[in-house]
Amino acid sequence: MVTLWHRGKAKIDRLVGGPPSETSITHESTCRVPYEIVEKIITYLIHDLYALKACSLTCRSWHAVAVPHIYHTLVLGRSAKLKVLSKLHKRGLISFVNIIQVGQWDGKSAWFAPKVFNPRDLRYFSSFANVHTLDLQKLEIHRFIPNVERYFGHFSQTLRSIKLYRPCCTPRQQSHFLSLFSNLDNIEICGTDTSPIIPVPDRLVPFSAPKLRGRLVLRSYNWSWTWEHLISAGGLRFRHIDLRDSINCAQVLLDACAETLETLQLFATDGKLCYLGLSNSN
Amino acid sequence: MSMSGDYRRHSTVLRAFPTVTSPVFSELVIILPDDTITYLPKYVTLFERLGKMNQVRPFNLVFSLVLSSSVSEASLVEARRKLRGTLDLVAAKGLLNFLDSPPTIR
Repeated sequence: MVTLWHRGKAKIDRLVGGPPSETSITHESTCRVPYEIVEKIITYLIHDLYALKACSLTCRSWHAVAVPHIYHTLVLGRSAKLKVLSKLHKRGLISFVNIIQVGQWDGKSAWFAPKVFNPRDLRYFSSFANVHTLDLQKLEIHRFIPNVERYFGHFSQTLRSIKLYRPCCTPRQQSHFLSLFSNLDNIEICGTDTSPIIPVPDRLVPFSAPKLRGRLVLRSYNWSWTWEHLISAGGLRFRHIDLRDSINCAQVLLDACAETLETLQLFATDGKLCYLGLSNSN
Repeated sequence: MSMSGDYRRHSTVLRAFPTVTSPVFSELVIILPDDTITYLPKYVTLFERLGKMNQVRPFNLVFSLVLSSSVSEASLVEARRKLRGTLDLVAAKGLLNFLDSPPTIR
């Protein structure tokens, strides 16, 4: 324990460039700090990655508290693609990941597709057991269908929130994809991709009937068919609906969520009634 | 899309609103960019429509401010003050008489 602490302290000294202090006194006082206090200290530092990393090097107990705050978000980008998965697996950090972001916003064609998953990467990707949020930029959903369950099925129980930025798929493919996550509470979809979509058999059945869900946010999204598919599979129920330049979906969604709606949010793009969907109906 | 088609396309909230039967429906939130605040008193028809909707299903009206440029605390406070003043103007015109309580600003 003492050796570990000395190694950690030496690393911190190297990081902060400070002189060695009276180690024995500090060591004793550090080890005496109750777990609850350590947790409290760490929560003050959750937005300071540098400080968190320094804390994680202090001793085992500080490491255990700090690490979940350091590795909670995994960002998969074009440059490293899935290489980071094996590193996370080797270091035993996969269980700490709560949020996965896939970045494909650079204007190039999407890289996140079934072909980038070799068997080992797919095994690692399937071992994320605590992910509650997916933030997927320009996901080409049609490329994952009909085997979408193979790649995303392990998120079905834990996922609570999903954000799709310009997903590339048909409305039916999208509703099929969303229905995979039976415990989803928040759905946010920004825009639609008009790129050519690879045709796949369109006889897709939703995985689960929609439950009562928290919030639906649509931005520049006017595919009402996505929801019609889910509605036909057992109803659609949201408590909060936020429509930003997505008025085309209003009729379908308000009809479907008529019994559960608590708040309705509309965006006044330029103050005109038409953008609020409040023009004359006839 | 034709002009009339576009008009119909944007009318759906007003048309669909009466279908809301939820006993817990409580809020209609209008997200408002700060550069549109000054236009609010001119939108008499907007408040008339909101009044009709409120008759069908009462709700609290909330204006949620979005800052279009600066995101500093000072500019947010200034935008809120401006909106509060504008809503007072709107209320003075009697356009918010349909509400049980004054609109909230977020």
